[in-house]
Amino acid sequence: MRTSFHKIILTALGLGFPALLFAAEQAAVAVPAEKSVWTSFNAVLIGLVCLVLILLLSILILGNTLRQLGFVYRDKMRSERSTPGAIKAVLLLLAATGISKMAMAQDAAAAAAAPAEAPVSNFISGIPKFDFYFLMGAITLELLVIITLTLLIRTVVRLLNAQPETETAAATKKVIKISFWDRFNKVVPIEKEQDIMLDHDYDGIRELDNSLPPWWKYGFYLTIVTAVIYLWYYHMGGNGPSSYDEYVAEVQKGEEAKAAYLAKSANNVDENTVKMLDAAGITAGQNIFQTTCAACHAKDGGGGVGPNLTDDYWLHGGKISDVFKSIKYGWVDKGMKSWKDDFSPIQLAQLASYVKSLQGTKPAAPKEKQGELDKDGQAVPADQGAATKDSTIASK
Amino acid sequence: MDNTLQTEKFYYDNKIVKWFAYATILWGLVGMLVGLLAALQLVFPVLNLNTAATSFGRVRPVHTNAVIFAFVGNGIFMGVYYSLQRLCKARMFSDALSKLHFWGWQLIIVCAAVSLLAGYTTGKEYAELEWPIDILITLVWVTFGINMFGTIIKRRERHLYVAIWFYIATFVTVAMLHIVNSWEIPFTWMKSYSWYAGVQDALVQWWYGHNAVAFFLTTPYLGVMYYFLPKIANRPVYSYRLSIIHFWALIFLYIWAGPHHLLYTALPDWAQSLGTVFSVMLIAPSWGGMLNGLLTLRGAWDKVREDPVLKFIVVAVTAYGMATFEGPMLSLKNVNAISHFTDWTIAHVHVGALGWNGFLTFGVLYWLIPRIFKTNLFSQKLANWHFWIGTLGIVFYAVPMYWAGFMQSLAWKEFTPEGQLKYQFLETVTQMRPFYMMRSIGGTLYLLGAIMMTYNLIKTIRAGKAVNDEAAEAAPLAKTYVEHSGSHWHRWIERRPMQMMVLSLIVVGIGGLIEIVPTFLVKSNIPTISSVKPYTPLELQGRDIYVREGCYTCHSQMVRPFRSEVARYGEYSKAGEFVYDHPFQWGSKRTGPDLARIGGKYPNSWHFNHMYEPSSMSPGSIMPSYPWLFENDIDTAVMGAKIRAMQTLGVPYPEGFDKVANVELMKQAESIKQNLAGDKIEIKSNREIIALIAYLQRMGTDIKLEQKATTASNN
Repeated sequence: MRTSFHKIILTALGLGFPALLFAAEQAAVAVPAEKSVWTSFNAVLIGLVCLVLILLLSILILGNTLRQLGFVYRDKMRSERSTPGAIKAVLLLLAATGISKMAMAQDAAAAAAAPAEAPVSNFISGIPKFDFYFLMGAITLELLVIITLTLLIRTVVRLLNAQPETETAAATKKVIKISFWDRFNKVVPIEKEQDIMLDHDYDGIRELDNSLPPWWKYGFYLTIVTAVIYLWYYHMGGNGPSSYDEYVAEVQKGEEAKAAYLAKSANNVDENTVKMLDAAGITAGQNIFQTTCAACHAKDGGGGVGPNLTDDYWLHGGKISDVFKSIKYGWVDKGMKSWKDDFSPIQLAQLASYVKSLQGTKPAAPKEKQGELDKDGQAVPADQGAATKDSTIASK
Repeated sequence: MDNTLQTEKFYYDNKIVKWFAYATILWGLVGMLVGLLAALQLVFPVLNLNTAATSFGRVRPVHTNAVIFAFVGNGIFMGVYYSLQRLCKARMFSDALSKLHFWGWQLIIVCAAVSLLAGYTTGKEYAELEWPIDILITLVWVTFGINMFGTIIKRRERHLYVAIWFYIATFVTVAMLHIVNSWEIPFTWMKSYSWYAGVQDALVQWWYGHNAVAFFLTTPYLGVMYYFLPKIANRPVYSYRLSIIHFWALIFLYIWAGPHHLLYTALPDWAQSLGTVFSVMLIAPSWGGMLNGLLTLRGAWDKVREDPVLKFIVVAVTAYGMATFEGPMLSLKNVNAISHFTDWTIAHVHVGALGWNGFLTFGVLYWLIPRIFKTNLFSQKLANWHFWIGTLGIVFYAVPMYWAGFMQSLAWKEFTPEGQLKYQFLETVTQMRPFYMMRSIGGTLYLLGAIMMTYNLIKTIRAGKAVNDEAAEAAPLAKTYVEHSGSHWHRWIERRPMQMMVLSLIVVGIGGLIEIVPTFLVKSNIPTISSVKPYTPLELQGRDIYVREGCYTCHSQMVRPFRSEVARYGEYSKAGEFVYDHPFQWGSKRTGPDLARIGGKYPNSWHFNHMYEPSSMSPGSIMPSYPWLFENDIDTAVMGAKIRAMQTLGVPYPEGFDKVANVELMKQAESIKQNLAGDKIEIKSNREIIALIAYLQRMGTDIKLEQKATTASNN
């Protein structure tokens, strides 16, 4: 057994190596896909890759189990003289190892091919379509391999069981295993069970009177002590924070972190400092607009539920600072929500710039004029007074 | 011990067990199929079929009610009717009551399915059924109780075995929970309002909801386990002492843990803490059941390797252990802050439902059917395949849901360095779809296994012949009983079923009383907010539509005091805001965003378009469309009755308001119609969508009025 131990480790390494390669390839696939949709991480992708790896790991484990079973079986067959059954089993084993190795090689090869195809514009949950289908394919393939291996292991186990180990060997094993468990649970051993058998018989069901497992009993005490301490800490003079205290602390921490970040950041734009951005900024604004604003203002800004943004008429002022303010604080009474908690100041500036860039374009189905003529903030809207009053409320 | 007495001959009633077994299989398949439909609807919203009866909000309660009360319910009765007779050495008390119980329960199930799909719901999870069905449930449950106690009283076995303790506790506790939580005031023959409002309703509901898990899905099944596991493995139960301690500790502690469903909500902190600590203390008593089950198998593990029945039972008991360890962990406030409202909860309950309840039921069925039909199981191999496919199904179900829950929570809470929420809610929804797909695959596998079992059992039934009345004999109880010296003190109560029932009721009553009574009586628990006013008639109608369509199955109405939730939804929810909410609609899952502060966030026209075709306003949304709301008229005929019911419940509508409510309703509806017309939308003012918009626009706005008032006075 000891000599074959080295062999097993070597085989495990050999089998594991392609898996490592495979993981590395996957990581390479992951990077471009991530950047295109999610800025930090794409959990679906990571999930799928992990699944691939986990399945791969199970293939390795199953494969090794099968190999070890094979050794056991071979040894047994040698001792019991070879039979046609043994040949069959060895063939099965060879086939199994071959299959698992082949599968892994395929996976790795396909993975290597994947990055080349990565810049496909179609995405499924933020993963390029090809990569998505590839991963799904890999998962299916791995599942097939796992099923095959499982079936093979079952077959071999059956073959092994057909010639069980000698009685004495099995018995000694059993005793050793149970004694630790018995001590752990303070169990009366099966042999002495009759001593603690209660005299009742319920439809053939008897009851033993074993002690409570000590770890269970003391665990129970521990939870009770924990409960008392918990209640004391939060409600009876222990000064534990209430839900409200926790909230205040969380907000304060968040605000401090935000202030610290904004203090040394160029992103700190507000309605007083906002300026029209360059083409890159406008494009960024357009991207946000298409996903978030188009539902109410139409994809081309022609309006729908919300007003037309392409004409020179404005409900709340047409200067970039006015538009910025409208997006930032919203006009909740009229249905425009405040977006300051959804987008960063720089994103709001990008949006405002994009909206301003729409002026004079010809939308497909423009909504009628609403509000006052305000050509880039030249004319004074009639309801200027009202607008300022509202915005002070909104900005409080 | 009573050898002097002559034995009596009698027959066990197997027929009723057989019927309950058939019903278990049938409703199991139906319930799982409906669950699969609901799961697929979240991936492909088109499967909502644009009709009311097939939309997710109605299908999901059918799924939960079907698997809990129809599948597991019939499973309980199958197990109880089989084991109780044998443990009491007596035939069931009355064949007529058995039949009444069986057909009554099936009638309830059919009524439940039809009424839920038709939109009759109380809006309280797992207690959705309306008042006539609630009464029917009470009657049938009492029938079951009489039948059970009748059998116990005419028993030929002096002491009650542990399984029967669990059955007794189940009977009294479920009766108590059902009656208290379903207390409601009817205003039509199929509609009622919950007697309780807001925070109080939430507390009573989750006291019920949590203990429906405890006393419908757990204690009766523990009883079933205590009979079938030692019987099948042919091993003595591991520890009588453990049975006693874990039984009493379990039923005493379980009842307190309900508030862990309401952590960080507007429920007072002290009640939340009780929920947490009692959940933590529950670990050991729950594990007591698992240990007593698994350690009973000592010396029988070789059988487990061979016998599919034992395999099912072992996985069931292990799943029970996992779920009851996870539960207390989810009750810790810091874990709950992450897990609550996400798919993590869904994963957790399905480990319990698919693993514990499902697998134990399958195991018992595979053992029971061949016995009743005096034959062997048609195919052990097929049963083994069922075992593996079912296990795989559970894994494929749970793992993606755990993953999804983590993702949701992380994405909902993440801020950018600039202090903005990183993800729009909708982004987190579209990211879920692959996980929902994988979950559906897991569910399909599980259902496939159940279908294989059905085939296997039908073949078995065909091969055998039912022994409807199984002969047995036992000596009757002696008139007087002489106690053995030195017998265990607990034997005393095991001879007294009635005292056992009363003591169980007292033990389970304590927790509920201590938590519920102060919440109702102590005013400081729900501080009044003066600007919170009753709903207008139109809003009330809208709210009833919200309840009817099961919006609460996907949307919460509870902004928890977290920075991320206040930034996303607005001011966190206060207890005083819900005082007129009969029933409360806090929800337990956010497949869609929270709606507690939806009022005034979007224009009326946005809601109009969104309800007609959600993806027009929210591209990628998986919400169903509600076209029927644009065709149905508001049911103004019951307006007066609704107002009067609310007045009875203490909602301060002025005297005689029920007479003028419809005038008010039409006035408000007209103004919404005009407002929509401003956005070029034509709709009659008496359509249901108008009422729903009125309700949505009202939600969470009262507190804003107060804040405006206070800022104005400060200026």
